[in-house]
Amino acid sequence: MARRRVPGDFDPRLILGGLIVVSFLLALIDGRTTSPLAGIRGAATTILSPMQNLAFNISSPAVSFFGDWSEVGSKDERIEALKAENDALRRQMNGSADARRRAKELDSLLNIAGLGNFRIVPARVMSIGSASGFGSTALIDVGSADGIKENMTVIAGPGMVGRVLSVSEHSATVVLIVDATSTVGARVAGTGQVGFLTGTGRPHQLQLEFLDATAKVKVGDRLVSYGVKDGIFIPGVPLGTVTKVRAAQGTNSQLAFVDPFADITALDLVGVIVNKPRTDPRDSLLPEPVPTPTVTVTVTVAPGDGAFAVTTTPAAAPVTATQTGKKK
Amino acid sequence: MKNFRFALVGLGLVISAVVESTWLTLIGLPGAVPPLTLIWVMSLSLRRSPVNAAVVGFFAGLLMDLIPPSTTPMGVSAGAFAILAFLTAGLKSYIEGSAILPLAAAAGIGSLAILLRLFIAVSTGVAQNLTDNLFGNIITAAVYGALLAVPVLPMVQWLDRFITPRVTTTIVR
Repeated sequence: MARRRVPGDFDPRLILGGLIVVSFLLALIDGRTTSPLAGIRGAATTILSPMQNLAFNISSPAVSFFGDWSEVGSKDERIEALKAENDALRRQMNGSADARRRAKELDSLLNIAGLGNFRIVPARVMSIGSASGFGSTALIDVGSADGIKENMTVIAGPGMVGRVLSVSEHSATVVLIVDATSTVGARVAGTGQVGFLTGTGRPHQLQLEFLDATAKVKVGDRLVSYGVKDGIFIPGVPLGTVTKVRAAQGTNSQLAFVDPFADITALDLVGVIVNKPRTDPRDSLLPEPVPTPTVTVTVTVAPGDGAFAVTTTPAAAPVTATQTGKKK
Repeated sequence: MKNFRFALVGLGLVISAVVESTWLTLIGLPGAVPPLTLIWVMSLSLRRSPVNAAVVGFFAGLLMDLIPPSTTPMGVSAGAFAILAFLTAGLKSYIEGSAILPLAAAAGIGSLAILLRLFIAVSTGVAQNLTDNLFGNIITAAVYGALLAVPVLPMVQWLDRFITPRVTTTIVR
């Protein structure tokens, strides 16, 4: 016999259906560019970010430990190099490795701020990415109380990280340049070609499209942000290096793929630029290019018997290999 | 007493969401972020009716959509969590009593959550970076889900038993 329903006893499937309909409606409304539900998100940020800050402060040493542990595979490959540095590391053991790393990052930030006449507010990243897998964002531990406002440019060491998306009193959400919704005006150092650098959602790949269809770029070219009047991003901030170039589909123009200077997967200390410098630093903030190793091969033919010697000399290194033989 | 229980369940979900959004995102594990809150919801669902579980799942998902630095539109995770919690509660008679099935369910739920979120996002036109490394995220979410279930499932169920009043039945002959 079917169970008799009492008043207020709804069909479970009806309740689930109702919740699904509400979910879809919320997603439709909140997914709009200017969401009318932004106030709810702001309130949630105000309530939840102090808890995240607390959790972050409690967990910081443990997270550093696990962060190192998760890189154990790549560290194995460096064991030989690390052995060579063992003596130096032993000397440094008295200090905290974490503190030293942060000091280095801060030094890098201050360097770029000094060169570019930027006034920066340093911040620590409390959370990277959204826990549910959408968007590439980060939560930093400074907010409106520290002078942070929406759309301010965020940098980390050698390059741009993103821009401030939303601000609460003591925290701010940063949309990273690798986010699929992020677009930055970019200029190729040296040639001055300009285009738009958009995120792909991948941490080491941005996509550059040129305004001028005839513009050319090559692998290794470096990019800085391109400032426009009343634009969001600060001009002259290093963005990344071109790693791949191909023809854009259906057009004659080029499409370039760019590896950002800032390591988006290992963000810790970042700086928010709180002023707009009067002058564009142009290409002066770009990090020194990593020299490409070149190998010099010298063939010396001995007079008379035709004996020869081949000497291979990598750049900035002593002779590593010498081969001798007889000329045929 | 009922309000106190609701508050405790809510507090547990907030703590798991905060831990997921800070510790678990910063340790830099490959692929998806370990779905702690989802496994927490699953553990609660195994002790609740489907309706109750769906409501808890809905609000837990809403929390995940809102917790900074999430830019996920509200409702995307909420819908996915509600469906999965409802299914878990509906299938609890099959899942309970086995040592392996709860872990398999946690793995399945971890993967299904990604697909359901993708479905809701695409249906409402808000998909952003979800398709990036989708296969890797599905696999890693399954692995992390099963691993998390080992400590989380018994712990949450013990806590839930602790805060739920014991029902005593008197048989009158």
